[in-house]
Amino acid sequence: MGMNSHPSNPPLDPAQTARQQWLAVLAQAPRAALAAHGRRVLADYRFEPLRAPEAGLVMLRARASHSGGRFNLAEATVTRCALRHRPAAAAASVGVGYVLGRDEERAQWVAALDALLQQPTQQALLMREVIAPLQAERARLLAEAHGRVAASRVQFFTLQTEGAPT
Amino acid sequence: MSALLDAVELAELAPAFAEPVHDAQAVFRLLLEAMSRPGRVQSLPAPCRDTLGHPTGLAPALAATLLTLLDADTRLWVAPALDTPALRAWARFHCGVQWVQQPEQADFALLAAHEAQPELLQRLCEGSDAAPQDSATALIALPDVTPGAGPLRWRGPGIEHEHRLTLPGLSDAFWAWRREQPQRFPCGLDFFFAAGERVVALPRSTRVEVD
Repeated sequence: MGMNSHPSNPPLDPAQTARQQWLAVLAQAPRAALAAHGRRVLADYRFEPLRAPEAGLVMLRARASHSGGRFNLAEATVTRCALRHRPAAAAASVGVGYVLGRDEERAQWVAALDALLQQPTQQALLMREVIAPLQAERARLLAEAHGRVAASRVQFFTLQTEGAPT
Repeated sequence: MSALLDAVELAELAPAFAEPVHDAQAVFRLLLEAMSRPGRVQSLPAPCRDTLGHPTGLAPALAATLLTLLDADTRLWVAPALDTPALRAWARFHCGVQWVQQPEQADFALLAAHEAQPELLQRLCEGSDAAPQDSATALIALPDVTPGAGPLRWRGPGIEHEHRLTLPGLSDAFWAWRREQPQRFPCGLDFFFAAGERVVALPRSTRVEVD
């Protein structure tokens, strides 16, 4: 579920890149944090289900090394949801939520926040109040984990990365 | 068509089944009933009928049929009269169906009544003797479907004596072509005719006489 664009995909415009980033933040946010933001922000808005939350499987693909062929690693459970928000004075927007696991509420929160984030009048506020704190929290957790792992790091000076350009 | 739906198409997309699992099961049962009792007109069940979302211009019975029968493994061809951007976006989003350019490639073909002409229907896959189940199913939008009276007499498996029906909009050429079809059994096309909330099936094994 990497967010890097595939070389064969068309180039993305800045609005799409921004949306990818906030969707990545929302999809990876811990349940408790998402629930706190979701309940606080979403209570005042109405959403119409376009696709009710549904769980399914996606195939995860992997490579054995930089040069190895792709193979199917395993299937992962994913829950998805699509919600439409119709503000009184602006165009409707549809938010989508894809999260790992079968937590339907999380997929709904992601979809609802995505729909609101696409509304120009809401975007700046939500980026500041929801996305930035979630992103900071994730960065803190990642840094903590990296710190723990770095203590036991071993440098293989004599080995070259397989398939790396020479 | 592009692989991605753009935000504008998505924002105006019609919804689908309100209860995807139960509604799809109910409609599947209805379609099974229609196929096993050719010529009997079936109506969408009430909870599904009242909550079903469908694109403008597509009868609810056809929308429910598409939602129930199509998925990412099926190929749909839509004749020009019914082919709209709204239908494409809707079918792609809710069914995930593969859209094909040629009728020969289709598992399901969606047509308006006046488009159901022999030249076109001959291009649809009728299966082979070894694999008659590979044939296409034609879904035809009619202005009306009226049971009980009319010039069509249906006979065959699933019909005790005969059924009489009125299916307006279909040409004489269609019925003349259809009269010859049972000779090709086990190959052949199966039909669903739909108008509003009603649907009636014509499987390949049914013989139709026109008075």
